[in-house]
Amino acid sequence: MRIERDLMRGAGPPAVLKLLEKRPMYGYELVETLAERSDGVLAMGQSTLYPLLYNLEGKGFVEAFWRETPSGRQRKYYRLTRKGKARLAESTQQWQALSQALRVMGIVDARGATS
Amino acid sequence: MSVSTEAPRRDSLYRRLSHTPLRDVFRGRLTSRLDIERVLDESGVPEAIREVVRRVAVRTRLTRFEKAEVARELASHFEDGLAAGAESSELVARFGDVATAAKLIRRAKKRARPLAVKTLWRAAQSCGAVLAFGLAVYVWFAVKLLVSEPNITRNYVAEYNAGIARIPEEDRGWPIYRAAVLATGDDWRSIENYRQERPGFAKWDDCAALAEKHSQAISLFRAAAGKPALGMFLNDAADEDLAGSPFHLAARDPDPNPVLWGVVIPHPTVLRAGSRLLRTDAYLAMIRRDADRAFADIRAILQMVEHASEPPSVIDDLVAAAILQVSVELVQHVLHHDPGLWSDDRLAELSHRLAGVRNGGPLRFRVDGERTLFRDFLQRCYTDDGDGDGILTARAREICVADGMAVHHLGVPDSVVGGSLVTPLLSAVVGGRRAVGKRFERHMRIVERESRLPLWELTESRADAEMEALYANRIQAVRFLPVAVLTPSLSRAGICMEFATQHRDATLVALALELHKRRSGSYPASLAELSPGLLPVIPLDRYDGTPIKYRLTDGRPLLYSVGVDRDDDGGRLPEGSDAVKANGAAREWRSPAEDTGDDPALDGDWILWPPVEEVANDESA
Repeated sequence: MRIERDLMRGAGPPAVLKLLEKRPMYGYELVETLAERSDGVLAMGQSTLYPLLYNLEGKGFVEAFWRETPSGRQRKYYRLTRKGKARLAESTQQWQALSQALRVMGIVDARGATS
Repeated sequence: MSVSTEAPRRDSLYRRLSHTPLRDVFRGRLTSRLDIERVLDESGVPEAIREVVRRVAVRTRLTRFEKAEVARELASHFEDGLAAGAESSELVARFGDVATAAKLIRRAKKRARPLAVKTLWRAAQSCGAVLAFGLAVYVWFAVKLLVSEPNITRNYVAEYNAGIARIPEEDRGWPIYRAAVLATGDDWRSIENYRQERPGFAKWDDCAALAEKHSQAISLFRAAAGKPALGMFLNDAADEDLAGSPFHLAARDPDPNPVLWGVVIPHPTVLRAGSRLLRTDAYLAMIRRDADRAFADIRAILQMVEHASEPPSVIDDLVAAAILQVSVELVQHVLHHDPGLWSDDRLAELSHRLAGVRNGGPLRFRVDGERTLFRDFLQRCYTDDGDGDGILTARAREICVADGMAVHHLGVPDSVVGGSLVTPLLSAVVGGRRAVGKRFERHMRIVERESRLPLWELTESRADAEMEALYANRIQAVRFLPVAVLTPSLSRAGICMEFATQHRDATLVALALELHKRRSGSYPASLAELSPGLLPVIPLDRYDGTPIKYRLTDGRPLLYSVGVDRDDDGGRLPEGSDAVKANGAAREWRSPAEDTGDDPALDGDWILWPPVEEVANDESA
């Protein structure tokens, strides 16, 4: 299912922050993981991911660093900052509240599926 | 998702050589780290992917560093995809729209820039905008300057020469003056240098020998002075016959409409030096009691005063005043040392000639020449809209550096004012033809008003104050640059003319006193006795506006002015061991505001007769 752009704009940042919560990840890995974990719902092209990452970096929620791969190639990783963690917690609360409201409104059911 | 297990890629020798710092130097870059192509070369991704990365990076229009950073990360991204087993075409298709990606990346990257970088960037942008605006303005004025052409409608030299051409050839003195100069040969410079010598002076013998040697030149000077007019044509061509003389200029092609400030004006030098040669001859004649020759020399010098005044400019009038001083000095010398040398008729004739110099009355300088010169400047350096206005043309810069006057008045080097790159800026700030012309004319009117003031009415010079204010205000000085550069300080000229008037008038009184003594056997008790028989009116003291002061001391007359302290001290010189200097100090003009009254060097009178120099010499003898 294809998510509308405006919705993706709101959901993308917390999704990326959530992925980075456990460990640093690189761009391609993030794209693939997002698509995999969301069954393709949050799949985004690189043209969307990298601007999103740069925005998060500019706001200080993530920080980038280069690290050598086993093949000797340099790869850019992103990891969550303390500010990013706080932002993730805040976003999580907001999305839960939104989800609850949508449930009350009957837009989504108890399992989170749309009715 | 799988993490890449690809084998480390080793750069080929060619690849490594092609990215050495030396290669960067050849390409004019300090480092290729900021080079997208280098990043792509290092990644080794297929061409289809390279093209996507390249297009995105380039279209972001970020800084070189940022573009390389984006390219490096995107290339790395595709490498991860390839390592994960994806096809390059699939990766390219999944990447999305290049233009959108570039736009979003640009926006995000710019937003992510540090505050200091953003501030610097904004500052650089502002500076760039200002510079671009300045450049546009500069180009506008440069183009305007390049397409602007002056419209030269007047030939002031030809107009002046037309008046000279109307003088019959036999009435022109200049050809004979010129012949007189040529007759002196190589001695001309020596003649010029004998400025003060008279009997008793250190170099008198050399000076007298030179006069004896050049009797032919002296005769020619007398003959030239006897002509009714100077009759000298103006032109900008060098007089090859006068090569080696101080007024010879480098040869060049004459211009049919020459620039007025470029014309050759040798007559002031010739007339001044000629008068000195005649003065020496007159002293020699006095020593030999050759009354006719001495009289002829003085008469010739007085006629030279008229010739020097023929062109109506300040410099000509000042030269005329200097030549008049020579004749006054000679007449006073005769009256003091050998009063019986000339007959009554000769004394009366001298009196009439002296009184009638330049149509009589107080001597004044004229600024007609300066006005014409400035009008010529305007027509050559400004365009003409047909209504008296116009804009500056490129020609103006030649004038602005004329004689280094811009440097002198504005403290701006010639190389700056005269630089062709600066000219468009000058044209942007220098006033238009009408404004500059009006400012100059206003100044000339003030100068003329002041030139008509006798010393007793003269206070601070408004003309000088105006010019000083102009120089002090840099904005105004640049706006009226032609006025600032081309207007000489003229207040001193008026004072010099007043001094010459006072000397001439005192000599007229001395002549009348001598005639009175001859007729009545004694000097008069007061000057009033001289008028109207010997003098139509008693000349005025130029410092207080009342008649010249007169006293009899031991039966000998004394004529004096109250001098610069404007206080009658009974004909006493200011304190000082050197009488000549003391008399000079008493004469030297300063405004009433400057005179505090407690300077002993000024507390005294300006002695006009008998000559103080002669008295000093007599005493020392």
